[in-house]
Amino acid sequence: MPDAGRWTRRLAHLLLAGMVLAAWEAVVAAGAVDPVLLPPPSAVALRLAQWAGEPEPYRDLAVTAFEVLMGYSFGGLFGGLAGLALSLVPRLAAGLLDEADTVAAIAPLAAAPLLVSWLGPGVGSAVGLAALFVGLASLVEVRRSLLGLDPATLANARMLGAGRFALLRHLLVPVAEDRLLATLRPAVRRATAGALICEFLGAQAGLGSLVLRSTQAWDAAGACAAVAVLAGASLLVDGCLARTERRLAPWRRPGGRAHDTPLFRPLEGG
Amino acid sequence: MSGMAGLLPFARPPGRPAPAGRGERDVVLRMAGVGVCDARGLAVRDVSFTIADGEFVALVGPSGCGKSALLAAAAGLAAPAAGIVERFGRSDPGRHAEFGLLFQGDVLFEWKTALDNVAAGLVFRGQDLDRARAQANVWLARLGLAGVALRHPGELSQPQRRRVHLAQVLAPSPRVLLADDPFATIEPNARLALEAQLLRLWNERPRTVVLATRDVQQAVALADRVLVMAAGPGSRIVADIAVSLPRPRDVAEVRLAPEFARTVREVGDWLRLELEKADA
Repeated sequence: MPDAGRWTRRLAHLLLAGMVLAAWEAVVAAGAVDPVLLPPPSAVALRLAQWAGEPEPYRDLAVTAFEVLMGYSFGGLFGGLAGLALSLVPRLAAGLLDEADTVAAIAPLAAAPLLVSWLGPGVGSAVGLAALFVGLASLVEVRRSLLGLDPATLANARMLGAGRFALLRHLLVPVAEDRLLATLRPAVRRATAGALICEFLGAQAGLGSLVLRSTQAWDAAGACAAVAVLAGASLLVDGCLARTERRLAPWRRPGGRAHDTPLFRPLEGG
Repeated sequence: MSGMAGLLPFARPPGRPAPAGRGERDVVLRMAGVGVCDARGLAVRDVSFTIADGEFVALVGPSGCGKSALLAAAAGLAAPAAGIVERFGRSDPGRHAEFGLLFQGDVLFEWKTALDNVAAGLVFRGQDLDRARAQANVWLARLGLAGVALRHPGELSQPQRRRVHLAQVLAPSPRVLLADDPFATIEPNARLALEAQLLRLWNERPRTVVLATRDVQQAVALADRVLVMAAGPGSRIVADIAVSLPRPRDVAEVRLAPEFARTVREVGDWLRLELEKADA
């Protein structure tokens, strides 16, 4: 991609965003909307500048980041292990994968109030829900990637003398690990969603609770500023993950795994 | 018993030891009345042959005649549906440590470097990683791959990947190499280079090789003996042809010998006959 084209496009994006903000500012300034319900961008910017000098927003940001990190770690670990364990039971529940996808996306959301009632509102339930979100998805992903492992590659390992343990250590775990790394970014997004939902259900700290507290205090500018912080932090983290992803699995070529490319599929027959 | 009886009319040239029955060379692989099933049903029906230690045997047949299924049975990856498969005189089921299988497709471990792919067989057998890697390095150098030892398979060309797989299978030093049309997907010039490499390795250390292939010229250029399989399904062996070309051979030079042309023609005639029967 030529660099010049990229920068032109970036500039266009910035211009567009500036125009939207200016229009928003104008609408509020003209009195068309009540600033208590929809604060002008200038008020939001002012609030952000004010927060930069206060300790409390940093604490909220740190709490949410901690919840996401812990949720992702626990969820990825236990979900991945469960997916591996399932693969040791041959073909068990292989047909349930599609249903499992749906369950993994919806069930944790519905289970949020239950989780809060068990663990109490706060960091514990936020970590729990984030882990649940990530764990179920990881389980499904790992299970799917292991079912998709080429039988000929498995047979090759067996012919080379791999026993059960060697298969696990040299084939199943690397494939599972790779799948977890490949789904790192969506998993972190899921963990963030899980943590925020729990914070909305009455936590005392975190960016979600900051949104909630601001709204309850009729401070729409504060709520919008919190959303802006959240969006900015998410973009930053996502960008960093995209960069590390490429370094963590150097054997994966850009655009997919080597043996996903049809060009290198073995010919059938013989 | 059509298998054994069918083999007898094809006399070996004088001076060549018969692989079976002489007792001076160990029988490495014996199949008696073997039937093998694959996904489409009975792929191979009633196959019998014996392969002696150090023999280079090619298994030639039309596409889909069950060569792969037969090799899988010989390797112990699949149990035969009928008959006996004996390896080193024993008919134990399952994999045999002295049998290596060169696969047709891409079976490298994509997440391991070329070096670790070659070392894998040694590591699986309990060798420690450093020694396995040292040995793997020797194999990579032998196959002209020293420069790409730390690359992943996704970064290698297809002929390079085939070489890595060859090194991977040979690194644990199996006494018997089963090769399932290993160069089928390689373009002809690179294929010739790979054949030359295989032959060079075999000259350095002759081991028993069973090479399944669709390429008659490849079979005759490399092997001592060509077994021709009938068209599938329910294939069997229809001819056992000796190749009396002298060794050591050069895969390019050997193709110019009159004996090569004569043998290729003989094998080709059998194959054509089978294909005509299949079409009829």
